[in-house]
Amino acid sequence: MVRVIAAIVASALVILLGYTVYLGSVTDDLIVPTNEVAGRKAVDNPSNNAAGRQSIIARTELQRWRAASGPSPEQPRPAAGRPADGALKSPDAPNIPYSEGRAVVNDWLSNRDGESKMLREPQNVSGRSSLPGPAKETFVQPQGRQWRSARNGPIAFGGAFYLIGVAAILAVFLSVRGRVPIKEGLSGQTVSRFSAFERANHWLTAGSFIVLALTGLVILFGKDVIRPWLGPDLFGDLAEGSAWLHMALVAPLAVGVAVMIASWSWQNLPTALDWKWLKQGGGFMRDNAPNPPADRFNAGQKLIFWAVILGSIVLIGTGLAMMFPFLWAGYDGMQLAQSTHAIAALIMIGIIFGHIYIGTIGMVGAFDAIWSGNVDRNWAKEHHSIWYGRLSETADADEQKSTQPAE
Amino acid sequence: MVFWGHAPNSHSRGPDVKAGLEKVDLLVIVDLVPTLSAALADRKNGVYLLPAGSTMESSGSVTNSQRALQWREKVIEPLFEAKSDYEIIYRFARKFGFDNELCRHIAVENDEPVAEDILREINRGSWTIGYTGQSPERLKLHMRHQDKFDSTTLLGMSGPVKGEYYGLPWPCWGTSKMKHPGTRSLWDQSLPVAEGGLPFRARWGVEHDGSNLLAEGSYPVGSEIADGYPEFTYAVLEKLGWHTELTSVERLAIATVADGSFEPSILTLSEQAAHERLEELLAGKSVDETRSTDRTPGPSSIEQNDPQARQAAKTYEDYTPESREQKKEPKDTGTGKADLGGGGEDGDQKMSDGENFAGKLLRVNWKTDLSGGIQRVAIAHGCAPFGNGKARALVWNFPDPVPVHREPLYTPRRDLVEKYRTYDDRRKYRLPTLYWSIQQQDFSRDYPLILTTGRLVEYEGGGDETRSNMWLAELQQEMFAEVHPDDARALKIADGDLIWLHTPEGARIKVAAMSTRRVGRGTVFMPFHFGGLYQGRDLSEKYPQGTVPYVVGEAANTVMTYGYDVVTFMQETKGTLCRIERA
Amino acid sequence: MARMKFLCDAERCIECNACTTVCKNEHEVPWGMQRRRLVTVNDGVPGEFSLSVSCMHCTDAPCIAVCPVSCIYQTDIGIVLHDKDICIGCGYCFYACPFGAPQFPQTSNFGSRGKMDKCTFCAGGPEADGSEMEFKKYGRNRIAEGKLPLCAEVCSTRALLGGDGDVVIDIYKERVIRRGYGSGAWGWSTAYYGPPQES
Repeated sequence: MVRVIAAIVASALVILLGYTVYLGSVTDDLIVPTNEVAGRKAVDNPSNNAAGRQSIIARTELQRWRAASGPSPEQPRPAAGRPADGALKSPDAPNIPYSEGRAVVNDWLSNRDGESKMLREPQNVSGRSSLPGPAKETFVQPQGRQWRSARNGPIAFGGAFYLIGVAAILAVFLSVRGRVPIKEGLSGQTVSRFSAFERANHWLTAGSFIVLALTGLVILFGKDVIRPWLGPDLFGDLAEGSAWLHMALVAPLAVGVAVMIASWSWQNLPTALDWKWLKQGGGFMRDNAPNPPADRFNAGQKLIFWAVILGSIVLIGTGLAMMFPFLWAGYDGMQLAQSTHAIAALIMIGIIFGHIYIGTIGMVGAFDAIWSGNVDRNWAKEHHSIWYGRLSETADADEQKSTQPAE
Repeated sequence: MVFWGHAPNSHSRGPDVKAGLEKVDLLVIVDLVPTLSAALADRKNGVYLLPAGSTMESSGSVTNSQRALQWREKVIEPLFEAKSDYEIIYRFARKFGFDNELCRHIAVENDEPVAEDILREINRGSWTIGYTGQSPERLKLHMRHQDKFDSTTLLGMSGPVKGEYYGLPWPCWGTSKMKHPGTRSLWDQSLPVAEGGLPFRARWGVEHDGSNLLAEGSYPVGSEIADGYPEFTYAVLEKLGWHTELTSVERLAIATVADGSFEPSILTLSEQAAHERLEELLAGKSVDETRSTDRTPGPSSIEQNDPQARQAAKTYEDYTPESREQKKEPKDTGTGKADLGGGGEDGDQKMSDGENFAGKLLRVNWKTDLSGGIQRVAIAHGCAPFGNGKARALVWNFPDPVPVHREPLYTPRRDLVEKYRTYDDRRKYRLPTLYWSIQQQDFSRDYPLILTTGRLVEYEGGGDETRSNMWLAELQQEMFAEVHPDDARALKIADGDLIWLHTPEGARIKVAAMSTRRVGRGTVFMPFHFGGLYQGRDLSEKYPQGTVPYVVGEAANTVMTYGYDVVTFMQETKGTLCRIERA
Repeated sequence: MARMKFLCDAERCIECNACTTVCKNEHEVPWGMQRRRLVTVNDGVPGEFSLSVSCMHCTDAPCIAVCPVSCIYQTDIGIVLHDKDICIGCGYCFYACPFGAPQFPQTSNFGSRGKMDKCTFCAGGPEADGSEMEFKKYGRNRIAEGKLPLCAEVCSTRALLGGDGDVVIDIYKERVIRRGYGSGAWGWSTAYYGPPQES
């Protein structure tokens, strides 16, 4: 049953993946005028009628004459540009039909040919400003446009492709392999795997990470994925809450990661056994495959651990750079920080997909470890044989002293 | 001591200013904002702040540096306890008991002198600079028809302002009835005087050391005297035969000015009444003092009897254009006293009481004729009332008739001191002024950098008002000293570091260093608009509550040192020496 | 009708700050936020010039492209406006903007910024034209009155030109013909044409 559902989900994901590739190839990032916040009430646009536009042109012409040496007294004075009162709003003034955005932009861009001799190549220009505060002295930083291209192009579409891809692979794996069973079946007896403190810290970290990931995804993809469904206002509220939560949850994530480093990192140092474990794929691939020996943390868990630690450090560092503009990063630094933040976060979300998969639906008996803290003895024996061996030695000794039977 | 729209941080020698402010019995500050005057002195008593309204809270004329006037209307009544400047000065006068004299010709409404009358009072007296034709009515007309002026040439193109220059830039000769259009460019000889043209003023007499000071062969278009001429007096008019063009009112005014009995009401008499009063006046004078022939005041019969009148008449006789060619002996009629008192007056001696009426009458001139008749007649003949003279490059009554370089009192170039020495210490009026006794001391070893001060575009003067303006204050939020990057590097100072800046008289201020190539190596520049900090001490709490400017900073003039101009006694705010160190 | 454009003529700007001051006054922009500001390049050395810079109302505006809530939009005369009710203060527009135009009130905690504020070309925002709410959020709407941005209209040396782009470039061309190339139309290629196109 699970495998059938997984197959259906996998097919859907593959189709979605294809659609993402299609979108990425056809989407044009060019901004076209909409005259309003898309999907919201239309704005009154005074420059939309002929009188308004005539007035603007006439007023602009007024800026001309002082450019020359000035008119001689014989020449007529330029007329003031102010149209008659009410002309701007007059119902008689015909509205100029709103042309399709793309045509307008093409028209604007076509001016380049006539103006090319007046233009300077885009370049960074900075000087001095009497205003206190960072970057006030920068006149232009053309690389802002490059950052925008990177974010809206490779990062957005690459990220979507990657996340859907990871999900699709996991679904395919589940449908092909099914859940990884406990070979000897449930023993009915459990051993304690994670202390309450460890579990609490895991869920602190995991909880904040999940919220951070979801809110981050809202910021990156929400405009295209959620906004059409919610409308601009509701989505605006969602995004505002997301942005607030995203910044607020830095603190719990940082605490969780710090505690993890303190409590787990020595157990996650790589050993020779890890290589062997990885070569055998952890014994997950087939029901009859032997499980390679592992201590309290196997190589897969160690990889997750270090990915989380390193990823979180990168994410917190780059996130803080954006939260406190110009504290240590300038324009370049913040643009780099945002790009790094997005890429690192997407990679980590993919890794956490795998982690969640194997910890829940992917493997029978795994979730108990971090939920109740107690795992089935057979699960422990199969996946963490060395740890289990060490545990049962001390446990047997304890049991002899105690009259209490183990549950 | 009364500060009226003036800031103490405009004065150099800050510690002395502070000590002075603490010593005066009474300190009165009339201003929009309390200004640094209220906060600088360490005193608790005897300080009065009189809140004055802004330009929006009273109407009146304003004159810009292009000499044009505009009429501004009151937008709102003075807010809170503020009063207009007019009302404050009127109440002062009343308290001191001369309000009737002050406002003799000015209507007072609700204790506030009427702005139009104030301008009329100015018009009545300011003949020398032609600040007489700009009546409030004419200015208001210009404001109403602003759109009819060409914005490049400033000339009115149509309507009631056609042919006038916007704002009637002075000189706007004669009375407002004369409708002089104002003078857009001084000394533009391509226009008749009546249309805003002018020659150069015959300001320093007609001759000096044998050189003719009148113009030669140069005169404005339309001038009936095609050469230089001295300033216009009644005597000149008579010599030219133009005095007959004066109206009876103008003659009466001239005669009463000479006589000392002038009353403004004379100007409103009818021609007939004026004529009768003139006859009456002349009849009262002795035979010697009046002319018998045509009852017109004039010198011809008096000259024989009055040596002074004779001399005055002769002076002008010598310098009328026709007689000039035949003149034999040059004469120095310029007073040209070699003192420091001012620009050297022309033959415009004070009318002493002892002088004969006829003599006085002859010397009534374009500046003292309160009817404007002399100006009117001169201009009607295409002549400038102030004569047609030459500019002078040799100012014989200055200590240096031609400017020479003199090293500043505090100079880093000791090698130049001997050759370009300053003046000896001197004493003028009651004021001893030090020069050499300061310059002879060498401060350059301890104070190696040149210090100068100047302006920022965002602030004005002492800056109390502009620093209290949110929009402006935001643009310059910190007092700074510009230091050349090489000097900054040598002193291990980075851009934005706080520094102490010391000057030879012992004052010091704490400012931010700005490392910039705006200044040369060895020079430090500071803007002078800041205040509210004094030698590192924050004075903010000494301002009345809620009146601290948005931006406070050290006043540059706190550290500026001694030095006064030899002619004007203007303080030296542009050159001294300093030392800077990191704070 | 061409789009609206700003142009600051570096040969003419005298750094008088009139544009920045009238902008603050006209729209009552709070302390610390500058819809328009002045930058002096080559300060104190030969070739010094000053530029007045604000939102240039770019063609293909990067801020609109990166806004995660699409609160920024463009009118068909090229004016880039935004809706403060939707803005979440994330600051992305600030990273993307080549001209440092977006401003944020630094009032909130957690580094989150308030609603973005920027030059509106004196065209207000989505609220009804000339309404009190529009003024409160976006400042005066002069375009709706047939007027141009005050900064450009107040410029005494006509260094800052603003209005119909065809007229603006025509004025500028006239100057270039009169006086020679000078330093060129600063920021225009970045603002109105983006990076050079491959032809």
